[in-house]
Amino acid sequence: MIELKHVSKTFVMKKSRASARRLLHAVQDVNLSLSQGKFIAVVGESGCGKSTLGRMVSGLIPPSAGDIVIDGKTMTQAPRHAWKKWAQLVQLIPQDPYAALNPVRTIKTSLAEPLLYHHKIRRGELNQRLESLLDMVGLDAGNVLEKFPHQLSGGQRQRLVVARALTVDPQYLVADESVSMVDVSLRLEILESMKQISRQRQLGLMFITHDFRVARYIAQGGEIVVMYLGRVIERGPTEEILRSPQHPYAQSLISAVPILEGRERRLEEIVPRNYELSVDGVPEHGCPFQPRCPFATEKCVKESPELRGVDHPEHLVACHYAEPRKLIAAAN
Amino acid sequence: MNEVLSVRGLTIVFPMGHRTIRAVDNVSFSIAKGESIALVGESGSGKSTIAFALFNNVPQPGIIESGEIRYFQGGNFLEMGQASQRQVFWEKVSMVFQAAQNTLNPLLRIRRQVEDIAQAHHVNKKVAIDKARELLSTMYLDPTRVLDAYPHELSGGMKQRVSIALALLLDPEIIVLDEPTTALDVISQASVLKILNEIRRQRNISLIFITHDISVISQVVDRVLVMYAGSVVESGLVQKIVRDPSHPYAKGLIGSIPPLVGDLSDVHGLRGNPVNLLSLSGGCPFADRCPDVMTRCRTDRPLMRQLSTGNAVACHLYDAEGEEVRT
Ligand SMILES: Nc1ncnc2c1ncn2[C@@H]1O[C@H](COP(=O)(O)OP(=O)(O)OP(=O)(O)O)[C@@H](O)[C@H]1O
Ligand SMILES: Nc1ncnc2c1ncn2[C@@H]1O[C@H](COP(=O)(O)OP(=O)(O)OP(=O)(O)O)[C@@H](O)[C@H]1O
Ligand code: SF4
Ligand SMILES: [Mg+2]
Ligand SMILES: [Mg+2]
Repeated sequence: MIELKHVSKTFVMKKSRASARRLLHAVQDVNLSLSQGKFIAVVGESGCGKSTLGRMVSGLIPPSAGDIVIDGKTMTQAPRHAWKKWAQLVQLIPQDPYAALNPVRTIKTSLAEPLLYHHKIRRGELNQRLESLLDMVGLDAGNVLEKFPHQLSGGQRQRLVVARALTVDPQYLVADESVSMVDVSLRLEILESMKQISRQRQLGLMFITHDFRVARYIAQGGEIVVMYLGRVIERGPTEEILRSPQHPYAQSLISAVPILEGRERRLEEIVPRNYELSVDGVPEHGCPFQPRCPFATEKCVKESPELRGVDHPEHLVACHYAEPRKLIAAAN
Repeated sequence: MNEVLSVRGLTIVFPMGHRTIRAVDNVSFSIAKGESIALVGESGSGKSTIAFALFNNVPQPGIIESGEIRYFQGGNFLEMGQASQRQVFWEKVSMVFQAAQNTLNPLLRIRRQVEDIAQAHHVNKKVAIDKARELLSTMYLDPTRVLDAYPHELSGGMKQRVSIALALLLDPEIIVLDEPTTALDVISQASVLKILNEIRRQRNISLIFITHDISVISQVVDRVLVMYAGSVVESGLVQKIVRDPSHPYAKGLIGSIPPLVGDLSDVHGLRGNPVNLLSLSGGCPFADRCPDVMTRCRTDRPLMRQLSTGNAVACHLYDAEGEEVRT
């Protein structure tokens, strides 16, 4: 199990003029746990800290504060060599396949490298191993191994990145869908196979997205975590979050999903006071969502709401005026 | 019917060495005044190429092989001289390009860009600025702040809304929008969709909305053309197509959108790889990926049939009477 305990990440931003420095709290005081076989979707707008969180979970960047504990071992305080093991246990799948694959290397070289680096196999077994890996993600080895990334379609490249993550037998996958370059119609096939593979191998899956449709699909039976400006503002069982979201920001995100007329119906719509994330940064006091929140009061300006339990024991919300709202129903 | 646009038999080819790509193949559609349509299909299906043809401006080395385009029941736009073409376009048709956020001139304040459009079209600058103010506020933007800003000072969603405001400046009757929301954040996307829905209703404008994501169009258009490999494979009212698609490709498109409520078990992605236009045979272009493929699909090109649902579909699963063929 991976546990995040009060994990924060702060970037120091140099202002262009003079030397004044500003701190950017990309992730703030996040507590989470991801066990094998569990699926979590992390949802939020661009810039909310989702990728930063994902990179910390994968051991690619260290937290500024807090601890990450894997199977009882505090990794963030472990010696450097333990981090190699961490990188193998938790594989990050960046969803920009162009960035993830070396353009001047064949697919075979790209896939073989992590296998040999982590001493997962001997050279003689390489081909057989590659074939079974590619087969798992629905690619034909004969067709792709000798090719270069640009010779594959977008969907094939994306599946390849999944195959590459699986080379080292990870126990956890962190998939970051920050850039979705693939057509929606092709994206689902990849999500389907990722879900299926994670189930078969009992992997813990943390899936990062800004799309509530994708979040529900991936984290079916699992958990949804909604982030806003570095903080977890709502989390809970997937169906519970969709059925009765309680934080005005989570409600705004669900309300922003275009409805499939004739299949779904909108019952209520929560519209934030501002369509854009504030460019002026996070308010120093009070609720981070307060400048955009349609329900904000004086209290929200002054007091920061704590993440607290509501109704369902695993459903947590950080809002002074948390209130369940039913936003979507099936069309009749 | 008061037609603002009629496209008949539009075919566009790209010569590639000794082969040619048929990027748009015999496409026909028409739009009534105030009616909005969407062109939906995966990457490479020919959507942008159609949009360019509407301006007789197909990118090199493309050739409009055949077809007619008539605006406002006038003559064939493709055969007009540049001067007459410009007259049709003067103020009546405008376009918001794919990735329009990046087509604003980065070196000029928005105010200057408004003035440049006014000048190019012989409109009084002050009148244009006043008009821009009004438009920007209907886009939920602060007109003064935006007019004085450079593009880089605005977020992606704000830039997209500015592009739409600029496209509306000359009161067009038709706006072509190529992937207007694709690069935007969720909430920003919702705001753009909401604005488009407002303008088409309030201003009686026709939108031609181009997207690969069929889930975004329900509320902004009346009718949809589903495109595959350069051909229209199904067309009809948006609600009908979303609720009850007929073509296997349209079914696949809708079926691959995970629902927000209800059962997830019959959500499946489209199988197979995107079509390669160079390897199309004479049959149905979707045959290689179609779950219902029959022998004749490989050899005979299906014709467009009118169905009793009101939709039209090009698929051998439906006979000349529009009845589903049992196999
Ligand atoms: N290496 C870095 N140095 C400075 N700031 C950073 C760095 N990485 C991220 N940030 C900032 O931290 C915040 C969170 O960024 P992050 O990439 O985690 O967001 P995100 O939720 O993944 O967004 P997106 O959906 O656009 O991918 C942003 O304001 C970003 O600019
Ligand atoms: N300038 C060009 N030269 C050669 N082929 C082209 C050119 N422009 C487009 N094509 C071809 O025409 C076909 C249709 O392209 P088009 O850009 O119209 O597709 P699209 O549906 O807009 O796709 P996308 O969703 O990726 O924007 C593609 O197969 C493409 O390769
Ligand atoms: S705490 Fe206040 S400002 Fe924050 S989300 Fe709740 S109501 Fe809105
Ligand atoms: Mg990201
Ligand atoms: Mg295009």
